[in-house]
Amino acid sequence: MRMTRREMIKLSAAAFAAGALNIPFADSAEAQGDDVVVDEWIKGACRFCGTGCGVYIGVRGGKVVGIRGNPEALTNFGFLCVKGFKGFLSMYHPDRLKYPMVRQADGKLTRVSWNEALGLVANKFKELQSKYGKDSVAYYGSGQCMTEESYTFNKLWKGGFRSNMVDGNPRLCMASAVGGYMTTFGTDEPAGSYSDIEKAKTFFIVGSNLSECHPIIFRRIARMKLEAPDKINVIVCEPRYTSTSRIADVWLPADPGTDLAVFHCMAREIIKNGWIDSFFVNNLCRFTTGQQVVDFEAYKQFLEQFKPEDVSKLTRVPVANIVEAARLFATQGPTVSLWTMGLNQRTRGVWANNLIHNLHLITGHICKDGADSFSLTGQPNACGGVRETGSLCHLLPGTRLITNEAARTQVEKAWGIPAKSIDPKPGFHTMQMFAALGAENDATKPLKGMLITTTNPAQSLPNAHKYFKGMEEAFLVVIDIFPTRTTQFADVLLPAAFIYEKGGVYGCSERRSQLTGKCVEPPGEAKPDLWIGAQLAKRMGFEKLIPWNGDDPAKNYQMAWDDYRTCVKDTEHTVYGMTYERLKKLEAGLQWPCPTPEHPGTAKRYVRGQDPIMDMPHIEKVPPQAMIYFYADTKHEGKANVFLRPYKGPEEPPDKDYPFFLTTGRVIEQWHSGTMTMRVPEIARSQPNAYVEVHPNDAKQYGLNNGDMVKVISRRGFMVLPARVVKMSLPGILFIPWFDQAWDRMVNRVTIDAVDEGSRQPEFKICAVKIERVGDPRDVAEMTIISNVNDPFPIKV
Amino acid sequence: MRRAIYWLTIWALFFCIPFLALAQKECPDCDKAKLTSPLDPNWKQFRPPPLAPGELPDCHRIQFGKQDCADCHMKETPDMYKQWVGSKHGINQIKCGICHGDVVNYRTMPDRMVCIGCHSMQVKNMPAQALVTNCSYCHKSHWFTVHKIDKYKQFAPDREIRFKVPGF
Repeated sequence: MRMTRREMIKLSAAAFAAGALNIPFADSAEAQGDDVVVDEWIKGACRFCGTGCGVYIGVRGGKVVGIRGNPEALTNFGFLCVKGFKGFLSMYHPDRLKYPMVRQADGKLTRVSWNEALGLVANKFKELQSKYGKDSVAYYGSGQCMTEESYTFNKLWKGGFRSNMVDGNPRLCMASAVGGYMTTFGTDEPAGSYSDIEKAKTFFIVGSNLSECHPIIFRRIARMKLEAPDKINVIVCEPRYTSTSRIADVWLPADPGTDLAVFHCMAREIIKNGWIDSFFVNNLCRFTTGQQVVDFEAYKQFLEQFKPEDVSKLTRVPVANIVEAARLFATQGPTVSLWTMGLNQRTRGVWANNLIHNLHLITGHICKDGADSFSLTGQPNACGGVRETGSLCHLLPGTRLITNEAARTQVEKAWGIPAKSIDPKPGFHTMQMFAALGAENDATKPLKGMLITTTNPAQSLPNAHKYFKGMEEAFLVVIDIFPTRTTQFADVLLPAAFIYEKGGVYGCSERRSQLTGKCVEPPGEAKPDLWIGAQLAKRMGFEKLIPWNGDDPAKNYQMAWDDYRTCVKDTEHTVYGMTYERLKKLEAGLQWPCPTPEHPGTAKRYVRGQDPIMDMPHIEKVPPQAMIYFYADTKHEGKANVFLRPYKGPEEPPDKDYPFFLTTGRVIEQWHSGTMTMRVPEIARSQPNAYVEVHPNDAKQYGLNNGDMVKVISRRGFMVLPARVVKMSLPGILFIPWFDQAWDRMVNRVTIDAVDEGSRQPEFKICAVKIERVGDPRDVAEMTIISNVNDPFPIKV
Repeated sequence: MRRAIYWLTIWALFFCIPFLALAQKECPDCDKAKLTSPLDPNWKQFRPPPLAPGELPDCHRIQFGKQDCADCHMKETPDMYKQWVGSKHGINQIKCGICHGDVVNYRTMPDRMVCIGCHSMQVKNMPAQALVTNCSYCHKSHWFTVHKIDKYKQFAPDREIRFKVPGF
């Protein structure tokens, strides 16, 4: 480093001043530049929760060496959580799957060529389809696949095989939210955006531990609450006193599954005190039982059964808390509600969603700045990739129902396939799919083969024992980046590329699509899912339908995206204006509806001047004088449904034999079944094993101390894990996180597989269990991962 | 000769004063958080982990293996633990190992290379001519703030009593 005498004197003076002010010295000037030396920073999205954080990925010498939050992203403003910051490190873990493998006669998976593996899959699928019918092979996808990938597999199945046996893990997390939006508003996904958070005065956080599950959204709320504790109100409704509840003004600790009564009771208080918005009630609400339209008076009458005193007895929420929550919600708005699995993973998930929408509709806290009824999605691309592309058994691209003939015709036309070739009958939903999966010689099992990608159902399905045998006996093709509980059942294992090894579009909770650029090459012979799907299509005779099978991966992704955006061009979910060129250029991506390449995207739906669909009569007809209009209303009146849903508790409430509620969930560090995050040392060490959270009063009764080993038993199975005695859940409620792969601590051995009759989403959040103390504390901080693809499944199924 | 003395003086000022200053209090407004109890007597059993190439010696005084950091620090450094619990990191459950590393990459004083992972914009906002580049110089660990401590205290974890939930 060259320095003139004058510069030297200047620096010395600065040093002296620094010393005098007790300031320690800085690093060298070079070190103050960017800290990680990279060849290039490539724009992308985080691949963990549904927040949709914008990131920049640092690449040096063909390797990802760092990740940074993108300060210009409108989701996270540069902040990242632990998973976003550390999670990508897993891509260099030595356990990465690098070569296609096929299970041999000796039961071992052995390396083969891509040609051999794909040939085997294509031939076997064709054979099964010809022997057992077009619906004998299913696709089970994920809210973590890229949009282009889900769209491709959906098109191949529904347009190519003419089979609707397409579903994915969003069925386990978001289906009730879809059901809620569809039944109330006639179309899926929220009206508002994250930007409402900064304009809101009251937050109703319900069935969500936001602080751990969506830390960056929580930061946006916590920041406001900490800045102005008296002006911002936070209501939290959940049975655990989590970090989220720490910033609450009102806590509504309802017993699991009883909160429908709390929501109705809040509505009763709102009406009783005259806190309703008459314009909304008179013009934009339709009161209905689901079967029959009624009037506002009938709704009022219906709510009379939910008196605070009665509801308090039923739910354990103190009367004063319900009344105060209703007051804050209605009078201290604008109000934003946010929820996730606490409402969705329930046998009454759709109803719970409806009742939150009810509160917003009668108070008019929707379609205004700072007001929305906002379902947060759990996965990074459940909204964009699965809900919007219609990659579920009952949907078509643009979240159009497959039972709708007009929608089928539109899609058939867009795909260039003969009229009436899409099967009008929905396929099997997830739980039905896995129940129907089995051996070729088992006549009771109509599904004989399945392709699973980017998800781990052997660990994530509720009441898992019931479904192992089907996975073991059927022809199972699994696409993943690591060995998992599911790959232990795979007949063919295909190594996948990580998001930063392929790129593509992710769409987050707020209808925002963001493009990730390809950063590096995948390891070994691992390939992008899109390539796998297109090659499979080619080998099965659908090259014309899925023509993006060339040698240039970036071009393939762009072709698939262009095909998709054309397919949904004339729907109110239109992403037609989001070209790859725009998405590459824009730091924050775009929100749909985005009908033209000039359109800036839509932050607020159903509002004239903001939502372009309001002025697109070829998509939806909206009266010219309407400023707010729920145009997807199936009765074409521009109204949303306020439902008079009866109270119904959980499927399996505690009783004298199984006296505890068990609820499950995430922890901040770990992602889903831990296959990636458990491979990052700092994360693994912070949450090395699952545990059962027990209230001190219950612990005392069972003679439990912190760390004692406890057997948790349900009617379906048991698990053994350490107790964490802590004042967090209400007495009588146990909590177990679900990330742990260790057999003893896999919580889905005990959960229940009862499903919501509307959304078919299982009730992961609630079942009845009993506990036994089985021993003194043991070291179980095993940070379990399955390293060897040929490690056998822990039990004989 | 005079020239040599001149340069020596400059260099002395350059290097010594900041270190002398460090030995005194760090912040004009407040004292450094005090450690209130001695560390576990088993500290002698500590075997420092191998250093990565170019890494400066830095160690944890006890081999912590798979132990939960909080289990010891709740007892051994309760003030520090309480500060963390009350901080935004505590509210957001950003636990010790996330910044301090695990047993193989432990670091006593995480530098801004750690902070930048989650707070890229804040690190980016640091003026290029800043003399201090260690974030925790101003964002005091383990509150990570000075001026908002009173605000954070309103959200201390033991305030659930305010919700008056019977039996909890």
